[in-house]
Amino acid sequence: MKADIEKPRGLFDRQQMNTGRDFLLDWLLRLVLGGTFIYASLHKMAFPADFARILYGYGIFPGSLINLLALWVPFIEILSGICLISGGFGMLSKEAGLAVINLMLLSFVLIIGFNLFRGHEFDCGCFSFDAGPADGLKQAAVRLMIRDVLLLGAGFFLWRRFRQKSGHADQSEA
Amino acid sequence: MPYSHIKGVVLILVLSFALALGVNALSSEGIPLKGQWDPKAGVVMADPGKFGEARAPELNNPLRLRRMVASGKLLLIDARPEMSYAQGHLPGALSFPLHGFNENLTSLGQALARELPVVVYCSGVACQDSHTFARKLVVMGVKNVMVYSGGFDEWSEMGFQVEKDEG
Repeated sequence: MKADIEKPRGLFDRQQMNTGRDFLLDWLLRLVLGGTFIYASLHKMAFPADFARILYGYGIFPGSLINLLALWVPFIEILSGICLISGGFGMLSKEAGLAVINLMLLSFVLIIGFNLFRGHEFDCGCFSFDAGPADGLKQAAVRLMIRDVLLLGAGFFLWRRFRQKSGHADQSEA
Repeated sequence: MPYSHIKGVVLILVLSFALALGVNALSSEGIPLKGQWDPKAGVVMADPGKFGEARAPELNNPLRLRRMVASGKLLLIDARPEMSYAQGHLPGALSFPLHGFNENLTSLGQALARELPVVVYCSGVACQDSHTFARKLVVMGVKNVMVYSGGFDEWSEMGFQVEKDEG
């Protein structure tokens, strides 16, 4: 008879606390990743000619594509950021937004890493195009690389959580 | 990755491309779909047509400029900041930083009074300050204005004489 007595599931229930913590962590990661991409896109959208000059400075993009990329990339950033933060709209899901963000972060890391490896100095122009960094372009590129690797780590972590959740949802449906 | 997410990714890419083209067409900061990014062809820029008819012709031959400098029959204008000019500049060049254009109008007018051909330069092919400066001169009605596209970087890389400010 004793075994039939259920434990009370109140406010301080461990499972509920874990769920609340997971929810907060997911939200925080979505806000940081999506917010970073939305913020980074604003300057680029407003001044595509300046962003195009920054892309030229990377020294890896073909001239015929630079203007197109300068126009396109900021809109990919803002759209994927909005999808991730808002939770998505139909097919434009938060998972699709996160996939794009992770792919972009991976590309940024590879491009910056390649330029650091070959010793090519460049201005990333990631958030604005005003004054160059006070401590030199190379140090700025290293800082940027570290930031992007951290964001990419957060992005992959969040992707795994999305996958786990969808797995649980599939199991409970079955 | 599930198929629905792949479709979502493609949709984000397509939608953002359409939005980018639409906003660019309506924006006052819009650029053409193809820019001038060949450094051998002159100053690189996203919108080569933005200076319109006031765009000064480019001088892409450093050897020709060296002959002109040696003859002394030109007004050479360094449009870079004062600090860059002090660290090294083309022989005989006068410092008129682009950011101080309006403040220096009197001394600029005196220099232009000699009616020599004017050549403006800045740091290199990725710098547009020379074109912006030259455009202001053309709009003011100054004749025979050119832009040295290679700028100080090309000149010094060629090993040509560089002057530095004393002290």
